[in-house]
Amino acid sequence: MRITTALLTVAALAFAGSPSRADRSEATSPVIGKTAPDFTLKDLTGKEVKLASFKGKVVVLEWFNPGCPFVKRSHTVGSLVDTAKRHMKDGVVWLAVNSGSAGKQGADAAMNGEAARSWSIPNPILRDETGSVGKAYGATNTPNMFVIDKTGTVVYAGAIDNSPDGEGKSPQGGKLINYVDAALDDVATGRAVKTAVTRPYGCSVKYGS
Amino acid sequence: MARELTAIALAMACACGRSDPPSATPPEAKPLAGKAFYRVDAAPAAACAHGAICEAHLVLTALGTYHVNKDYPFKFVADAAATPVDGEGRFALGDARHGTLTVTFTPAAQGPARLVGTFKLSVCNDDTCEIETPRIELAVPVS
Repeated sequence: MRITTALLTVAALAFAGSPSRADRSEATSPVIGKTAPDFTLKDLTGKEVKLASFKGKVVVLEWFNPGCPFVKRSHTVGSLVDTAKRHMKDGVVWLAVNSGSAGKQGADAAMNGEAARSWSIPNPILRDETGSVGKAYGATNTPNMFVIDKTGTVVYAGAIDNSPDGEGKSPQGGKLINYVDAALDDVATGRAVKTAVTRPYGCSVKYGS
Repeated sequence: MARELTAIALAMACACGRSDPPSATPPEAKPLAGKAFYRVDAAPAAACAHGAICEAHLVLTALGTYHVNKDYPFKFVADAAATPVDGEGRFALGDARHGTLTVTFTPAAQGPARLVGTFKLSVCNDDTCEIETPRIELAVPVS
């Protein structure tokens, strides 16, 4: 009995320490189901944007880094092409947030402006150089998406889609799912968001510390 | 010819019915593709008979401060005009710096089978991630 228990313990420890188990870790978010942390950030023109000013509206937050190849692919060939524009027409507020610290990849204001122009990004890009907003939301990747409903509750946190190449060409399970489209559809029809948390992919957020 | 296009590698990793993990070509050998932050090598060649299912192994090594991006859907997208392959390959992560993409194919005839396509890969370090799509061109000896 003791030998069996010991063997099972060793096997369990070996399994727990394997990379494959780490890869299968469940997606989590510190803000899902909670009131969205408020913030005030400046956009690329220096205009202050306060989340609380959009009370009563559905808001999408998109963690952004124009130097990240996953962000570039998502905006040029993948699931972020025209997605913000489509939903903004329906009254959704879409805000990109760049939590890159000064000097880090993609933090430069001019680079963000150029990306906004060349990728036809219709929404503001907010600068969070201290990273405090990103950390409050638990943003880990770019892109990393959050959907906030009209009551101010975070109802979706995670990836833009299920294709971790950023191009929409390698969907897990074979069918491409745009999780933000799906969450916004659920919110619009008054349903609970079916897939509320997914594991984001892409680059790490370039926090300063 | 694309800058990243490699010369035809006559010594190609091909293992018919083989299940042992391949080892990378010695680092002094010329890689099939690469940049300062990664290289792609073929594992040592093994026998490949026509009519049998053969495996080709592309070994990715992240260099310098980089590691293999374990979340990326690594794949080999074969050119239509080249030897048909089964699917887009299976990627297995080794350690943080290494991973192996196994491509299977069934050569119909003796002589060199040309595997030509794009290896879609990603490596990262603390500052950035890179997505690379090097062209791979291989000639696999088939008995």
